[in-house]
Amino acid sequence: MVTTPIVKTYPSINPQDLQNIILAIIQPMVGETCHTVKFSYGDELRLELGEMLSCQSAKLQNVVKGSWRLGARATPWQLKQDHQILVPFPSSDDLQEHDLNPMKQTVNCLEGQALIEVEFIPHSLGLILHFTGNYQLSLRPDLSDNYEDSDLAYWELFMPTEQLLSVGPGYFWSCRSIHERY
Amino acid sequence: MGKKRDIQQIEAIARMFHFSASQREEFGEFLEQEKADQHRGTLNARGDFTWQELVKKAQEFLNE
Repeated sequence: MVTTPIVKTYPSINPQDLQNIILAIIQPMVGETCHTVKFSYGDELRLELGEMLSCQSAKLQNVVKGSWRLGARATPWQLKQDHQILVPFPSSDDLQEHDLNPMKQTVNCLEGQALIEVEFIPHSLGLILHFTGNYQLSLRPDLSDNYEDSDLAYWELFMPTEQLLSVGPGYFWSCRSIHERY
Repeated sequence: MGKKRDIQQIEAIARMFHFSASQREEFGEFLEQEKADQHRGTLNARGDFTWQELVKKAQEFLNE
């Protein structure tokens, strides 16, 4: 397995260059269908697109995952259809179960929709995904959060190349092998 | 909207057990499967896991 060295950018990089780099990496995902919307431990929104593959762990024998997998980590997200907000950005970090359940059900509408455009916002490190059905999913990182106290990326993308693109925390990104160990 | 503290705990477990990113991702899936199978944690009514329970779950996950 080829391991890709970690590549990082620093705040001095031109935002336009950063946008070009990130878009070049994620653009091949456009055209893929979102097969599954799920919530991982910690209520992290995860979208699974592309070819569905078996999990590697023997503990997950009957579970499949997309060849493209986007994880929103702890980043606030919003879902719109046309110009109507279906799920707003949260007003608080402390969402309760009765707040989360309707959001989880609503965002399932992305299942079966194809990704038709992706936007990367270099100044905020945010991401906007446009799907068929006029759905739009936005991730809006909180850059005011003290990233030196956090080890969480703002969002991450597992790719068919067996690489993981991580954006954040802070104005950093990396692309490395999914097999590289912590 | 993900719960930062819970997700950070998975990151800490990944570092402790030297997971790969792929393993860390599947471990999160495994934990949700465990909760759905009624092998729930005792942290709260949602069945989330205490730190000690997460360590045990990581050992189970790797012991396959």
